[in-house]
Amino acid sequence: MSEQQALQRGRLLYNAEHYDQAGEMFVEVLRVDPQNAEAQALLALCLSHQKKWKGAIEAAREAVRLDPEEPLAHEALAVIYLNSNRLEEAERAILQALELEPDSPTYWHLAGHLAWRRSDWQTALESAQRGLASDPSSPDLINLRSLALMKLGHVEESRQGLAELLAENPEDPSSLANMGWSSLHVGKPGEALEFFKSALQLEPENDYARQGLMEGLRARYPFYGLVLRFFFFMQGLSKRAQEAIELGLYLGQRLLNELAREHRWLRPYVRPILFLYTMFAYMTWLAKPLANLLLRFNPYGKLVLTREDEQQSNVVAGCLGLTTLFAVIHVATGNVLAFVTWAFFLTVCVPLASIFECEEGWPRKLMKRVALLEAAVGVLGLLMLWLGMDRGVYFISIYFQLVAPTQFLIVYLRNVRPELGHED
Amino acid sequence: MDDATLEALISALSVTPDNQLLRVQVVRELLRSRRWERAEELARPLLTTSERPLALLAGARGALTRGDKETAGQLYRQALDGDRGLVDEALEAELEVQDQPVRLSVQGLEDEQAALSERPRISFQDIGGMETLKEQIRLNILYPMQKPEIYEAYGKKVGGGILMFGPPGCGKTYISRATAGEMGAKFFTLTIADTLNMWLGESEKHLAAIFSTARTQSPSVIFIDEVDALGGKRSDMRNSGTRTMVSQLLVEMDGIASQNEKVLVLGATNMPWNVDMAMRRAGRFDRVLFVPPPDLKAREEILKVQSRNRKLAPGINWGELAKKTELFSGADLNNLVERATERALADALKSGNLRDVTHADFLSALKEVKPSTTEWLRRSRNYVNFANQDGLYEDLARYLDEVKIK
Repeated sequence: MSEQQALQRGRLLYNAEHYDQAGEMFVEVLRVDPQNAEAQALLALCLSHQKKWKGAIEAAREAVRLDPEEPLAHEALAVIYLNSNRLEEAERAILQALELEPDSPTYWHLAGHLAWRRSDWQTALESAQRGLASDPSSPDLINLRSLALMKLGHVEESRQGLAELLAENPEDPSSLANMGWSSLHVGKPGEALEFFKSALQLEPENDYARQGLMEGLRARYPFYGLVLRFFFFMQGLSKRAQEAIELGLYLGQRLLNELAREHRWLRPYVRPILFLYTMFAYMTWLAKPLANLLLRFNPYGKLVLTREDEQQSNVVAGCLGLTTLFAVIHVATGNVLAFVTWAFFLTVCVPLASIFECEEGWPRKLMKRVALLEAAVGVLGLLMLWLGMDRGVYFISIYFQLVAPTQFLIVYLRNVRPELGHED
Repeated sequence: MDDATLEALISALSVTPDNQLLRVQVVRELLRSRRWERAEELARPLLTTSERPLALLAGARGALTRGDKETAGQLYRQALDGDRGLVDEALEAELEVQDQPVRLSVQGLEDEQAALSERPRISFQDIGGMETLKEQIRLNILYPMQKPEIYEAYGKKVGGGILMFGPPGCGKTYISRATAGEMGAKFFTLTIADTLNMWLGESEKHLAAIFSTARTQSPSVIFIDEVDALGGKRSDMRNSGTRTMVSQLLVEMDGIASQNEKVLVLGATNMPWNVDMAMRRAGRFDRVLFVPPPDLKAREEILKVQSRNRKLAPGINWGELAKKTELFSGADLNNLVERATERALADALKSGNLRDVTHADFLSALKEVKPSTTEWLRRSRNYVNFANQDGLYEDLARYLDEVKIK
């Protein structure tokens, strides 16, 4: 088989998604011509499709080294870094590529994608526009621009771009999915669902559309719709502003607590505010599993929930069931221990549910350990108290001391994406 | 097994050359690590033992390394006659496609078809379990061929195409062969490499030639492996000239359908969603069969067959092992047997005492081997959920519900 034939075969196999066999073909090409940067880049992409990140990164780096002028090599390296959550290295790769070809729409799309991953919508928008200057009709770039505009609050402009794309190509799954998300943004879950369903029919493995479909289904419940709006509002802010608001709410709540403790006359005003605040804070954590719980009674919802969604909603349902039980006992009997117990189940629900929100790998492992450890400490304390052992107080107070700081860990762990490819 | 362990085994063998168990294990490992010539050399003493088929397989590999395809083919067939468990698909692929230039001449094509076609000796009796699948094949494939007049009386067609799909390593090829065996039909195989040759115009006549041979030798089965690679669903391939290839296949299939000939085209794929829509129209691959991972009975059977000729302790509870290997593919089960054997072997190396492979070895091995089909099944769930409008994935949907994959 000649080198050209092997390369061509490899490309055909790659397009047919037979990545292992395609990879063998590129290895064959490289055996004859070890300097072939194109084959090296394609080999890297094959490996990344097989989730062999370490090898993929090495191969892509080698491709860039072999021929720094080969666009595919840079593209492969950047894409692989992005997909393995190594954003800083992706940034370096993209900057290097742009230095060689400052007007390449492909590289600007990658730059925009990187900004998108960092929730930096302004930079994503600017990158998309830079790319569109060279290629005004690129669907990828128009889609990216629309997404960025949507996040920045320019919904009309965003929808206009998507509508134009769909007019030209009504069967483009990405544009359909983006249109769905934009419908969610303007609070039209019903319309969004139609877009997501069309997108998924065309491309059933489109995860962005699948997530959108789930959000759309949940958003039909008013409580979830409210929380979703809050999330969209927060996402529209810069990272700094988001953190400031989160911290502000936390400190404000503590301040109100302190004030209420010091000044008796403030209590009737502060308590309802605190209650509403707490309820809302809990809803931002638990709205999703609760909505999923309701979806399990919906024939279509039941179909699309994953096993994990179900497990998570089981955990939440169990915790909240026990919360209610002990709250009723407390109200009926005035038992203080019942009060402590329902407070425990209500609070422990959040770390337990968060296990399922963390990405596979170390974030999920760590979240699981922390959540289970805290739950164990609390349960131990409560058991001792119910059995009349006073030293249980020691454990249960440790548990409640941990609740607030744990929230910061949860926020961090739910958002972190572990870097891949450092080991095999 | 890593290289160091393998080297240790080889040196152990040189000390105790009569240790057949060790020799068999060494040869298997060498074959797995693709050290063909060494495997052939060390397998030679086995030729006069009950392990002759393994030695023949190693011989076939060795011959192929030296470029002697003919001998390799002969040895491989002999090996299979002795032990069907030795099927080596990679070797088959190489035997079929290795030297391209030959197939460009007409003479070469005919020779090659002789090699490509076979009359399989296996039948449904050789497949344990899988009753639903077998029944479907009987209804959709065998009876139409055996009693064509009844089907014709009801206006049903006889030949045509059937698309088999399912997770990798679950025996689509094997079942196709057994189907041909049941029919007493000639069996022609087209691998992905053949398909690629056609794509690239290296043997455009090939497809037509195979179909015409299959017609003259009917009843016959043409098996097209990884049929999704032909044509392709993705838009970027529509322009790559592969369309002519698809059209050619479709013309041939339509020809068979209109003549009601006893030629069956069986397509196999792991990615049915990538199969060109045009290929799924009436008279082409319009019937679809889901080939699930082996069921309980089939798993028990496969475990027993794979463990034949191993040094087994009495009291291995195959039923329990089968129960604990839900979702395992045939390849996974084979892997399990290998791991269990390695445990006994490692002990034997340490103590010098050749102990048997026990039930406990299998149970420990179970901790290391996980089913490889889960990822495919999860992925397929998306197609069942969102793209099952034409009912293509009904059987798959039922199966996913049964094994609770979401």
